[in-house]
Amino acid sequence: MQEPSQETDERSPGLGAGVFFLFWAALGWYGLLSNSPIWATLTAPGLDPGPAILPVFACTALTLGGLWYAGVGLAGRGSGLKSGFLATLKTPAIFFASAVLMASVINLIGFRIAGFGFALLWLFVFGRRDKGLAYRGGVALVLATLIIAFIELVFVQALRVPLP
Amino acid sequence: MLLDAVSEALVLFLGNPMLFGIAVLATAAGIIMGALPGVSSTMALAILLPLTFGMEPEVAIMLLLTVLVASVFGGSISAILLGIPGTPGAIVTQFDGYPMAQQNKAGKALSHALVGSTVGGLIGVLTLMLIAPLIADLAQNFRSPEFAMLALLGLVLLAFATDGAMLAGLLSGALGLILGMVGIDLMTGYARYDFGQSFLQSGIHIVPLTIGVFGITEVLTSLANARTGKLPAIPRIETLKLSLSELRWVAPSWLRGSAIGAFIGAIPAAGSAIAVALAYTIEQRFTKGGKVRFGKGQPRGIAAPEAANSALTGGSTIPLITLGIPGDPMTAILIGALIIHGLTPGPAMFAQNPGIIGAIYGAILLAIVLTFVIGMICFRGFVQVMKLPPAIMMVAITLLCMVGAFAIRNNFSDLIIMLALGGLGYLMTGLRIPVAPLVFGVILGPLMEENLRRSLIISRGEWTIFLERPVSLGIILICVLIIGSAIWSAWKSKAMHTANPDGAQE
Repeated sequence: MQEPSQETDERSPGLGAGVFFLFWAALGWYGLLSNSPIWATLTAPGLDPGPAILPVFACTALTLGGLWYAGVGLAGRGSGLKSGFLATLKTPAIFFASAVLMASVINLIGFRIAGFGFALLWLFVFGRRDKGLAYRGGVALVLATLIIAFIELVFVQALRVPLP
Repeated sequence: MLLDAVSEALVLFLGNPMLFGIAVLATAAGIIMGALPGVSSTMALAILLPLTFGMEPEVAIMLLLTVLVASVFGGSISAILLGIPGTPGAIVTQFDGYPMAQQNKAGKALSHALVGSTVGGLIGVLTLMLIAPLIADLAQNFRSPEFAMLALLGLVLLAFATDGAMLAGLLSGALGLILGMVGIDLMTGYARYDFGQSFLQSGIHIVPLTIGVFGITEVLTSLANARTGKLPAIPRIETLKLSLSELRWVAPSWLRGSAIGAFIGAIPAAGSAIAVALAYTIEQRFTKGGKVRFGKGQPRGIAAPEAANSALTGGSTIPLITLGIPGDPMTAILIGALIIHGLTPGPAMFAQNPGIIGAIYGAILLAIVLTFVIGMICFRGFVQVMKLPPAIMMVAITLLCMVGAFAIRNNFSDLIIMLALGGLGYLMTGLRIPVAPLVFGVILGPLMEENLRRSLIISRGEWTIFLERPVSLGIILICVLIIGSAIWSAWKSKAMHTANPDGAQE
């Protein structure tokens, strides 16, 4: 049995985190500088320091922090990626992409059909591989139907959510 | 007055069969979700939050707190039976729980966890009832400078508590501040960070945010960590009964663990992992021959951390209801629930909404009792649920997250924002950037900004207002102390590593 400290990965963020924070800092500065009414409040007369004051602080922090992580990453700490992150990325990435795809077709075919298709596909993929295809397909079909029926019952019928 | 509010809440929950039924179902659901490896208490709350939209605030709070209390205990079931903690707070429970289960004492180990959890929970809620009104009274004198600095302290504390990367935690909080500023600025009416998109003008709602970051991010993490092999066999559960001498042996552990949990819970962002680890270590020292006996199936090694973990729930709601700042990700979701229902957590809630305070106390009390009763009766049934492949649960949870994000404003863009934030959260975990401060930044951002600007208006632009008020100055000093100690400890460990690189590798 491992102690928690042994299970915890001790490495710190590196270049990847630096690039991430710098990207958000750039977006933050762009959002401020391209919005002249907001930017003008910094120098406008009056007691209210304006809606740009906190974004300026946050963007400055992100810029400096991003540069720090990028610097230590380039100086030897490396990408700072969690161990095994890229190796295990395939399933979550495909799952996430399929969820986005499903969300994007909801307006066309409705939540019930899109959700059912999504559930059926993934329940089949995650199904027991030692059983035959028919068994996996059957179980996936039943479970997908149950999940959609639960959502219909609770959210649509009971909570009156107008699902598309 | 406070006791009246608690008894009114209990009468409401127990007197209405519908509400009592909801509480029973929520308890069972909480235990099951806590027991399922890969479904944390935070995720359970995030996916159930949308169910509370149409409820009265008291009922919504009751549902969420019941799930929270029950899931905290549920995490120990998989820790004991499979050696896989269902929740982070159950990590230490497995050290002695799993060996006990392997020695054909699974039933007794589960009973120790349940009784310890019940005692800890009761002591935690009593602490909450005693301390919260005192802190709220003190906080009545707080004004804008204090609240602005408190919001800053909340972010600093959470960043400090995150694993090893305080700077990354602070920057994650800064990113949260920016996300929290998306939309119309209420004081001037100007749009910020909308990039000309109308759907961004209404801002990022807290529900898609919490569901995305705590739901979808955890789903993706769980899929990445999915076990390819079979789960370990679940040992047979013999008797659940504990003898009087067995109870007497662990009784001091309940008290010590509960005291630690309630105390640590009251410190914003301290978290369950610290509380259970400390309770376990102290128990080892208080038990004769502890170093040798612990880790091999010692009941005190289950009772103390479980009591600490449950007492923490009461303690962690103290900063939430007295100061309006979340103590951990779970209370961040509870703040979201209160905000959805038009309530502002903080010291004023004691005077303005005593019914909600009573509902919080009453719901925790009810949840503790129901968890004990339902846990004892249904242990064997809950164990069967653990045989469900986690990946199947992840499919259902993803769909529930999507419906929940849509349901808050019946808005398709909330669904897309939720997914985007879920993906962002997963990317952040891969880059070793803590995600919880991001949510705290969005929650605390408006509180910080409003009070910062109001303070500067009052002081006619003088920033020294934050240093002139003793409490505000005290909070600033605490922030400086925390950041300074983190820098000092990082510098010290780097110096040690440089002096003895081989030793540091070991």
